[in-house]
Amino acid sequence: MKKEKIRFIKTGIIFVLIFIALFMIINFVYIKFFLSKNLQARAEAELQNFIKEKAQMDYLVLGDSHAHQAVNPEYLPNSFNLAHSSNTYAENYYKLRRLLYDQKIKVKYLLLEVDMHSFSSYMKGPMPLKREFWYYASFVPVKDIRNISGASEFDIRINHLFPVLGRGEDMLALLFSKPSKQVLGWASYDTNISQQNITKLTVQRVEGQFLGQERIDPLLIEYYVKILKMAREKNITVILVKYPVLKQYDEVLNEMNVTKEDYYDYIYALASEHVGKYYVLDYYDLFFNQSKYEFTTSDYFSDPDHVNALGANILSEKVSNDLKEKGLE
Amino acid sequence: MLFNSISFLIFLPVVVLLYFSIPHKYRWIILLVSSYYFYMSWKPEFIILIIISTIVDYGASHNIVRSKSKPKRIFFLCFSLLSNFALLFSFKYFNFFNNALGDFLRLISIPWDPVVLSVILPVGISFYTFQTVGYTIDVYRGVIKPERHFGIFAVYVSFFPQLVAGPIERAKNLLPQFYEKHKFSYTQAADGIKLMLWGFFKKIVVADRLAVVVNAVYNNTQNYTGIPLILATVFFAFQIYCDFSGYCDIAIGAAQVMGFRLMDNFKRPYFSRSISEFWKRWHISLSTWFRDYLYISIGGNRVSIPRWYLNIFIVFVVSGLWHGANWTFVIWGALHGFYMMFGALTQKVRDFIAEKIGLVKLPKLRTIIQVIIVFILADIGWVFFRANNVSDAVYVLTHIFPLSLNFSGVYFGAMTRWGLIVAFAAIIFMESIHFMQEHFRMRQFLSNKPVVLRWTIYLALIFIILLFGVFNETPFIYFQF
Repeated sequence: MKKEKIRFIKTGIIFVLIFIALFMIINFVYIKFFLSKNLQARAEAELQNFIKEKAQMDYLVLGDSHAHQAVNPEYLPNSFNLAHSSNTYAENYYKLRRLLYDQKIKVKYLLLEVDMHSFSSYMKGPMPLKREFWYYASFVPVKDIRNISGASEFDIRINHLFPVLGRGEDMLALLFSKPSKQVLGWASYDTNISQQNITKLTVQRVEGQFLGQERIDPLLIEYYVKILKMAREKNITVILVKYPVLKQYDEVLNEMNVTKEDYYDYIYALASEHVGKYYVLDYYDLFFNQSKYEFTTSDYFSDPDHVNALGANILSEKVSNDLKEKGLE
Repeated sequence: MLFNSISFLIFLPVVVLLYFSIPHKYRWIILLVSSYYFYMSWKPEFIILIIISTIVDYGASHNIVRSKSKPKRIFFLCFSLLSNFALLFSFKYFNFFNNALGDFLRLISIPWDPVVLSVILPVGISFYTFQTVGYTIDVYRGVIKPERHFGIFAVYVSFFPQLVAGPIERAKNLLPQFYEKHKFSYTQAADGIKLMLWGFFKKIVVADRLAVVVNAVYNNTQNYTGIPLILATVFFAFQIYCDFSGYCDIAIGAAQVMGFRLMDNFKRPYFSRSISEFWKRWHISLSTWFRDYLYISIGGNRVSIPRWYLNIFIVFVVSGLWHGANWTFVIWGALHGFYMMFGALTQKVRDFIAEKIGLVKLPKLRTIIQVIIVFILADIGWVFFRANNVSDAVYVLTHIFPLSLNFSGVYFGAMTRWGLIVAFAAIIFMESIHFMQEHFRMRQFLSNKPVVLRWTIYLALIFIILLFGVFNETPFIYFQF
């Protein structure tokens, strides 16, 4: 029995050592050749290049995929789009904090997304802080990630060190799919909702965002206020931005009695309380009036509440003009 | 403690190490302490229920044997049954029956305000209750002698690999194994680990991946029609199979590392040619439990034909109820009872048709047709099993047609196109391995191959799990039962 045990332990150790060596190689290959193609990693690399050359950023865009897909920084001088898919105010807060305090970048104007769904508890479901540990653990305190995600410190650290875990699907996608275009953090999507079942998709989207969800989630409010306070501390002018949606999206919202006025009154009151003067750029209904546009308005969207590259370029130009008009240059 | 958690991956080697490090006569202590720890890492207070079951059945079984008169023996048997089922009823069924009674009374215009017990269901209560009840009935029937050693009996009730989701072991099979002087065996330990690895693959790569689509569709059924409903139902069929059989593989493998042999619970059920065969291949330990302790007790097939059909129906309805206190489970059980009755009633007609159309001469084609039909019937049952309520299940069944191949706008949760491809590939891979294991005895076949080839295969499986696994420590579905 003793011999059997020793043989088992010896074989086990050799097997584990081979496994560890292979795992390290695969993890390295993933970081080097796959993760670098990931949108978040590419945005990070672009940001590093940006801050290498400049110590000041005139316009910083923060938000989730609405902002990420909507504002092309090429239309705004010295700007960067740091928004990203599924980012809540929590992720945006930590990104801003790093930029201002760790990377010592001076920001003049902050374009902060405040859309209808931005404070819905739905946003807490796919929060990157709950799963993208490989990225966030490098600049967010593990304690904060633990509190938000509920993950153990062990899980956070393991996933930070070994991002390859559970990423086989991403590897296949990155290997076989064409990566999306990204410029200064802006994700350019060419897909078009017009060919799809718009009504059905819109109902599903709105229901997902609002049905059975808390309209204003306390955690998201907490981080929204933190962003505002940080902006005031660093003398950053806050510009709250409402991004465009399809008209059908608005109709479904109305059918579901999702109110806008009281919601925005509350959001603006918080902005007023914490930063004093702030600006609002409201593009919610930018594409509602078909007669203004060359194509069908849905041609400007990749889904009911995300503009595609075509829509983003129109919007970005408008943002640029509106900022000039308001003297925010 | 979940099998698919880091804590279990630390817990098991520690227990195995301690188990083989101490003299045989003290090993039951290690098993008991580790089993109680395993259970208490979830909700410590619920260990009291296991202790109550242990004391009641230990006492009842000895009193049954000691009693000279039949009424006394029956009394102690009933005492054991009532005590165990009272606990099960209070935690699992009280609210269900109370609400059902309330609904019925309201229907006949009698006002009733049901009292709602706000308790959570203790993990594994249905499993260990059935295991201990089976033991007492076996003692009453004289199949086994009552266990003298209280500590070993307590280990039998709480043995951690199979405590929370089976297999529901028979005392005749498991109890004597605690007296066997297990020696550490390289082959046995390696085989156990391989089986566990396979279980992890089924759970983490297949079941938890399919769950993304299943949950997205079944939690919002009204948003879907046609093929997405079929896809989600077929995915659920494989999800529940991989979830539960994956758990059983891990349980059997973990026990095997220590030298214990637990019974097989699954034998490729989706390759059954009839519903009765399905039940010989699906959750075998529960099916045989119902056969031995309920079906036979109510007369089995040694009764008139109508009564026999009724017996079958009763067993399946109770089996449905065993799974959960919800009408969906009752209907699921009743549906399978109906399948069984219909199968028995139409056996001759079906054989006649098969002969007339020449299917008898084409046995392979006949088998394929039978397997497909059984899979479809099982899937209809799964609709009720998975649906959140009866109206959702009815919606699914009535909105499958017309079939449309237009998937635009269909939301499958966080599942990407590549995720779907991986899901299909994983199902095909798993069933191919099962097929090879059944026909070529894969594990034995592999054990004769050079170490480089074997290790390459094992490492490949580990990396598939690590790369394609869904690591969110999703509890096993059968834990809720």
